[in-house]
Amino acid sequence: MRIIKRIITFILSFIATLTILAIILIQVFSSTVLSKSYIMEQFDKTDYYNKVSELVEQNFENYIQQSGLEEDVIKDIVTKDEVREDTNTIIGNIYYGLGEDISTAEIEKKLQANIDKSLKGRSLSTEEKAAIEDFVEHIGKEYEDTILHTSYEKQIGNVLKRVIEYKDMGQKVLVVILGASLILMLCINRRRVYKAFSAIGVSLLSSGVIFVVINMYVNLKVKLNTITLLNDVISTNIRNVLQDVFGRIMSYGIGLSVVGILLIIVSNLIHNMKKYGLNDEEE
Amino acid sequence: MRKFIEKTIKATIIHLIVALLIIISIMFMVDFFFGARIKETMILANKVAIDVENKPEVKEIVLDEKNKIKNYPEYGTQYATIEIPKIDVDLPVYFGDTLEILKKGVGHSSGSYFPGEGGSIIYMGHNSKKVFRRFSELQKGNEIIVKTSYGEYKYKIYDMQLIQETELEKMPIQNKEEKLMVYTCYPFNNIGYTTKRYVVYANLEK
Repeated sequence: MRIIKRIITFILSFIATLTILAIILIQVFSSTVLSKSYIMEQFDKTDYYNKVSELVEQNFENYIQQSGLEEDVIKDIVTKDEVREDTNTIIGNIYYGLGEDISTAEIEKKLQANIDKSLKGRSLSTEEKAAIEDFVEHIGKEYEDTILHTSYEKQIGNVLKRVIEYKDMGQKVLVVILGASLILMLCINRRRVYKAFSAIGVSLLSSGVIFVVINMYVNLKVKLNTITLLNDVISTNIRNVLQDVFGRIMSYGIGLSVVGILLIIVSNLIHNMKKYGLNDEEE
Repeated sequence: MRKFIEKTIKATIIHLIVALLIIISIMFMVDFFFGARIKETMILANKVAIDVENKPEVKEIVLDEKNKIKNYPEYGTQYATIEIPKIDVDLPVYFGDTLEILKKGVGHSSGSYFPGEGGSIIYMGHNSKKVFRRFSELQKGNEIIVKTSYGEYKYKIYDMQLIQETELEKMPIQNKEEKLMVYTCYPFNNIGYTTKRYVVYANLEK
């Protein structure tokens, strides 16, 4: 009977470890990459909108070199507020699957006005007029590309929406499983409650060590602070988010390990103190 | 007291072993179910993890006694500057001629020779204000200076020609005499694509 109890307690500890791992991972991802407000906060921290505005202008300059137009025509056609508004639209599309479009009409209108002003008095051939139309269209497209407006937003949005829905449901189920495992541990060991507490300590310690190992493994295999994707502005944000996610995992890992070890030691101390006393007086 | 300590330590060690067993079991489970996917993700992540600080050492470009370059620059890197005092040009020269390179400055056609090698050197740049918009002001006898890490080369313009982009024979690659050919799109204030090129020919002076 005693052995069966031990085996059941081990199995429950195992289940509790898995559920703790899953609950914390869901919690970490919910409060970081799956949260729109967190992403927006990161953008604010890294001065994202300003940097994207600068990047947009730099990319426009590349086009101007080939167009033969004066460089002044691309000045002040995009503002930081427009970048912020359009980025919000894109993030909304991604997180809530809104499917809203961003408009480049205003940018194209300002650009056309600048070109007209710059070419005042010059008669243009049909080819040149077509070239200007092409240029204006290219600039609009370049703006969309730079602020990451893609045709995949809707698809990403749909997947993310489903993930967020399942995440909430999954977390609830996991909490129920964890609660049931802990109650069962206490019921099975009701005469020796210290054993239940030790088993809970074992679960906390195991999940804590696994988190530490995950963090060490990832940091050993990948240099997170050198990840480079699309452009410098996006790369900085991706690096920050990844470092934050793994930083949180590491913090949880250390916290859980410390609490687990303490729980194991304290429950063993209390049990043995009761059983043997401090003066070697056996029961 | 001793027994109390011994029993406590023993029980704690047993619990730590149990924890270790759980950790190892979960690790095996994760490896069994997701191992391949984790490895793929790591490979992918490493592909986009660019370690800028530990870039391979760039070897210095050297021109030997036989006028041969040792350690050619990497494609897309800057290896020289070009100065044309007459039209206030002072621009970086990159090895290569892609649009990406031309956005940054002057491109060096990868099929042509390097300054000092004694052959045809072909440079190109946009006709924008920042690059070669003022090419029409150049005259025979004007100077072009190319500064590289292995030496400074002065060229004197001896001819200018308007050619079609397909007339490659007008910019021949040869290795008998060092000639610098620099071209840009024509007309200089053209809007959109043009098939005409304005070429400036210069001989090595020093």
